[in-house]
Amino acid sequence: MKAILDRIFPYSIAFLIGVLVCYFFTQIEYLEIDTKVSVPDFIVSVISIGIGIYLAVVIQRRQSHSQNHYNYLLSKLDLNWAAYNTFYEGISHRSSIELRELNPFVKQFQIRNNDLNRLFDPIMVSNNLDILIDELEDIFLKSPKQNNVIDFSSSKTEIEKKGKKISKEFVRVYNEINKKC
Amino acid sequence: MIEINIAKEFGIETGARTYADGPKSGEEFFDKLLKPRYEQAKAEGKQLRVILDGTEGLASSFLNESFGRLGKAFGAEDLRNRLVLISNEMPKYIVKIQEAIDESDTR
Repeated sequence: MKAILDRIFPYSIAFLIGVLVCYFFTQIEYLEIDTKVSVPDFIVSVISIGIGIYLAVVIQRRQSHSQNHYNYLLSKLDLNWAAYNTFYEGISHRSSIELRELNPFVKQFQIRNNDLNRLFDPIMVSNNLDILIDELEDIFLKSPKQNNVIDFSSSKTEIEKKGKKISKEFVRVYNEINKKC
Repeated sequence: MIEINIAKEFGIETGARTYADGPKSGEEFFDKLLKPRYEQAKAEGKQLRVILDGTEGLASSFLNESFGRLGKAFGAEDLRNRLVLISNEMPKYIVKIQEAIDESDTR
C-alpha cells in the first residue's frame, strides 16, 4: 500500500501543479491575470490535463512494449543466426562431418526456430528457415557415409547454394521483423 | 502399455539409415528394439509408446528407415492404432515418422 502511495504521490503533485498552471494560463487576458475563479474553466483544465497524462502514459507503455518485443525477437533470431554461421564456417573448409555433429545442430536449431515461430505467428512474420535446414540436412544425409561420418565432397556446390539461401532467409526474416515491429 | 525410450535404451547419439552407414542406425534400431517391442505389444494387445526426447538429435534417415520398415512389416493402419509417439522437444519428428509410415504403405 505504501509503495503504491509513494508512486502515486509525485504524480498527484505534478497533476495539481499542472492544473494550476493550466488554469492560470487560461485566465490571462491581454497580459492581465483574472484572479476570479471560473468553475467551468477550472473543470476543463482538470479534464484536459487528465486526458494528456492518460495519453502520455498509454503511448509510453505501447512504445516500450513494442521496443521490448522487437529486441527480444532480434536476440532470439541472432542466437540462431550465430549458431548457423558457426556451423557453416565449421564445414566450409571440410568435406566430411560426423553425424554426432550434424544431428545436435539440426535439433537445437529447430527447437530454437520453433520458439521463434510461436513469437512470429501473432505478428505474421513468415519464416522458412525450418524447411531450409531440413533440406540442408537431406543433402548431407544423401551423401556417402561410413562409420557415421558423412563425406559431402560430391555435394559441396549444392551445400553452398543451400547455405546462401539460408543466409538470405535470415536477412529476409530480419528485415520483416524490422518492418512489423 | 509397452515402452521404448530411445535415449535410454538405444543411446543419445544415433546413426543414419542402414548398418552400412555406421553403428546405431535406423535399421539397427528397428531390428533390436522397435520390431521386437512392437511384436510384444501386438501379442499382448497393448499399445507401444516410443519416447523420442532426450537424444542429441535423430536424423531424418534414421526415423525414415526404422519406422518405414515398421510400417512395411505391420501395415500403416495397425501402426496408427498401436503406436504412440512422444516428442515434446521436436514435434516435427512425429510428422516425419507419420510421413515415413504413410510412404511405407504405398511402397
